[in-house]
Amino acid sequence: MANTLKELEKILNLSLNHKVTMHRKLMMYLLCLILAASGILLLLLTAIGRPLKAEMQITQAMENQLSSVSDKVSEELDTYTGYGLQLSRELGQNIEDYLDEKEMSVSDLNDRPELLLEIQKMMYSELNTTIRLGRSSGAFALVNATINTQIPEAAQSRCGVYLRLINVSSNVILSPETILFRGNTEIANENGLELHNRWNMELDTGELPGYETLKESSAQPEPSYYWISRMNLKNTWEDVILLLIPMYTETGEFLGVCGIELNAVHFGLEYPAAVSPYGSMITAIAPVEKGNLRLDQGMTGNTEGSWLGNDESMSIIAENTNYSTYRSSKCDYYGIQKPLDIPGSSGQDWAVAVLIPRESCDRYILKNRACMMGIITGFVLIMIALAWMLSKKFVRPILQGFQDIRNGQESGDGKYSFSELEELYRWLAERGKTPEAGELPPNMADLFEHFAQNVKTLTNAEYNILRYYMNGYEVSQIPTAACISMSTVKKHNGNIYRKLEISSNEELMMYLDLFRRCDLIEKLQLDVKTDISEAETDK
Amino acid sequence: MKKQKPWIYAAGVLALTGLMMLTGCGGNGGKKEPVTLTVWHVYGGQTDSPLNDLIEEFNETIGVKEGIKLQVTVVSNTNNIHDAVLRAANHEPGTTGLPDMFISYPKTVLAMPDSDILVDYRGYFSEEELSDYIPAFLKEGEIDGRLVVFPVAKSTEIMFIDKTLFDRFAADTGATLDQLDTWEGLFELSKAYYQWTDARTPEVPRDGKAFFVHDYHFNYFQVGVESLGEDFFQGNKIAYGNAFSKVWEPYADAAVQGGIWLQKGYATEPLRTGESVVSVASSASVLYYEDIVTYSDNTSEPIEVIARPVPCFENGERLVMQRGAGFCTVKSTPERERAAAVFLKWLTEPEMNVRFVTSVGYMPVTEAAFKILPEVAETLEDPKYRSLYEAFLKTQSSYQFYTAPQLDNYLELEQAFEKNVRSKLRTAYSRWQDEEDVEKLKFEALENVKAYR
Repeated sequence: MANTLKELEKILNLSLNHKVTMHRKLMMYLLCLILAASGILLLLLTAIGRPLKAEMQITQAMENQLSSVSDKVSEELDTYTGYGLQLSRELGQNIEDYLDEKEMSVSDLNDRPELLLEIQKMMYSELNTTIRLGRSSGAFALVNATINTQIPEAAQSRCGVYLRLINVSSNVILSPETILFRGNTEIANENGLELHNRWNMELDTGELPGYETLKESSAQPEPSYYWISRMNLKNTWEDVILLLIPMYTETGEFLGVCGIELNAVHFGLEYPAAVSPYGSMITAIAPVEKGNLRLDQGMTGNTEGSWLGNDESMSIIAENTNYSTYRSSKCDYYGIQKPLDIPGSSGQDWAVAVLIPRESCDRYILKNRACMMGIITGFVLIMIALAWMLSKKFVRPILQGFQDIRNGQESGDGKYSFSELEELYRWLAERGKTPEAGELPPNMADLFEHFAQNVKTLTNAEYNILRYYMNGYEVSQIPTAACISMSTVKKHNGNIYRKLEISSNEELMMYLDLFRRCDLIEKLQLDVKTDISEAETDK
Repeated sequence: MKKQKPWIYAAGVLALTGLMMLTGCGGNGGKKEPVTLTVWHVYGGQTDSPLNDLIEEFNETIGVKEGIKLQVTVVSNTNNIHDAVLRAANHEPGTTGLPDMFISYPKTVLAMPDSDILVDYRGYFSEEELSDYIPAFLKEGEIDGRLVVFPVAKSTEIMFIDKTLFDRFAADTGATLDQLDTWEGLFELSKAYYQWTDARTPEVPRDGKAFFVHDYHFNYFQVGVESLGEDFFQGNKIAYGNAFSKVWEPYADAAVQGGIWLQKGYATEPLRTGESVVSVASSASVLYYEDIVTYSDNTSEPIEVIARPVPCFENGERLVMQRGAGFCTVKSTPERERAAAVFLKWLTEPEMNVRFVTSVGYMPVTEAAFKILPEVAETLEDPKYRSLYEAFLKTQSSYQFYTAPQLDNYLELEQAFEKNVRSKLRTAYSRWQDEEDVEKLKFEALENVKAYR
């Protein structure tokens, strides 16, 4: 293992000591630039809010909350409806039995306080049970008759009982205390109930939208119940929505109505604002009218952590793929909604919605974006700094080399990290060197040396012929001067060309002229033992 | 060639980043999320509460500025809030937990398992600020040296009269309002009224109506005994001394003979239905008296309600029960506690305090507010409220205020006594209807009441 590590270390050192080419350095520099450019691009995309994780998180949170509260609301309203229908069946049957026993119709109950008190006692019993089991904030029932037909308000005044919880914040205890809002004071006395501060003896049907229509219609196979949108309970501080269920006899005679109350405070307690990093998530159920969410007609959960009022009609001012932007009179909200399957009066469509203050959402998004931008900015800055350092390191030896050349310094063997630069320096050093008097340039010396060595391979006869050339004889003059034939001269010429690695008499004359000009012609000897360079040095 | 400065590029990038961040700030401004405080209070009961309107006003003004929002989740009476607070404080199943602020008497705080969960307001009010408040009112809110019940309004007991019915009775019998100045006179009228109403249906004997209803019979006896110079309490029990018997006599005499309303519930209820004519109750109940009475046949008629100081005994001191719960704040974060203090300071500024108390039938809590109260009271539109504040000022000038002692078992004593006395006298009245002897019934009832200590 230790050996392997040592080997690896050696390889690493070798690679580190290995001269890096300018090309590779430049590639690294460009790579940094590319990364920096990528970072800037991402920064721009983030700034204009493109692929942001925060928006997705908010959407996910809202969808989860909506799914949860939607299920809960539906279940709760279904429960109320179930108890309401049960109430209407039980109470309707009891009243019908009572009327059968007395052999009278509902209208015969008018101006009969003692009979109406009996009916109210039945109602109290059923309503009390309904509140305790159904855990609603109130329940009511009325018969289509009044205790006194002579009073001016008789047409709308109907005998009944309306029980409400004293304290809706404690509605889940086993025996919630109730208060008599409407009904005969005998009911309160008998059952130890307080009268509501705004108690009245009978219910005002003018405050129950659709009552007159129900009264005129005949019995249907299933009761046509509906929810009345939010209303203020007259002279009180409380707002409610009411489930209204008609009661009919088996023969179709209209007996009256009963229903369940859903109190705004109760709803607020049931649906607290969900705390999230994006702000309070508020639940609302409300009728949808011309695309507007009518919170002023619906119910809003606890609005803790927001300025949302429950008297708003919120319009959707922008929709995107994730969520919509709702505008209220004070602030904007991000939210999503889905239809709520409950029957509304006047055929209203209802929706359940989850809303988050835009301010807090935007702040979260901005924070998230700033964080992301900070990271990217940091990355870009690091890349820029790295590119700057690399480029500086890259050009420093080049500049140093230029400076060295300008200063006429000696070769930089091993001094520069670039092999190309070393080569360039050597080349420039060689190129820029001025030969001394009589000294041949290195290439020329090599050429001359090689030629002189070839001369030594000649035979004496061939050398004699060469000497004539060296002494300035023409080819035609040599046979006469050497007393040989022209063919012999030509034969020697062929050997001389081959051995001296030349191809013509002109080339031979050029070499001899060069040797002569360089005063080296004497070096072309057969018997010369020293090489030309030594001879030159001697000179 | 000019030397390159890399920091310029870095600064450029940073500036660009900042610019991008700023562009991200675009969009609708809106307001920063508020500190939201939940409130349980008693000012308005189940009616359209005036304090709720003031809280809305606070939310819209100071609240917006300071980032505070108050959210009312319960408006009820002190008894209901007392029960709800104790249930929440004891973490009973099904309760929703304590609100941030609630109205409470010191007796509720004393009954809590741990009053240390409440804020000591001295941490949020300077001594100079506290010096503006009536010292006695602050003293009432101190538990174990900590100011935990902050006064915002104080009430006293006041007599309310359905003058329309009284005038009808007076026209036939010659009764006068002055007779209501003393308890003796009031109880005599009570018996007379019962007989007067009984006479309307001669075919049904002894079916008359009660004349008088008291919200807290316990207070009648307590203040009555104290006004006669005796201590009502002996330690943490009721003394039942001679003065008690003196106070008992005229009261029981009228009650056994049907002149006093003995059913459960508040004094406003029988006046609302014409079942009685005169009540003694907290001044705050002015909000619950309607200017209309509805009879058992569902007919109704408008009435005039007037207020007078409570009666006193002919030989007794002019003494009246002073009441008035205050705001408790549950400890949470300094930010929330400070928000509660901001609201309380706003609500007790002299002008605001007078505006508040005159809408709910209370007295203010600062010296400065008391100075401007008479002037404001004269300008009140509702004659019922004008009459109330006339009675208030008379009470203030000619009565001594009595404050109940802080006994750990005060509430228990009060509730048990109240239930016991009403029950025993109801039984006695029932037996009187069967023509049993009044003196015997009174004596037996007293002995039965005394049996509970």
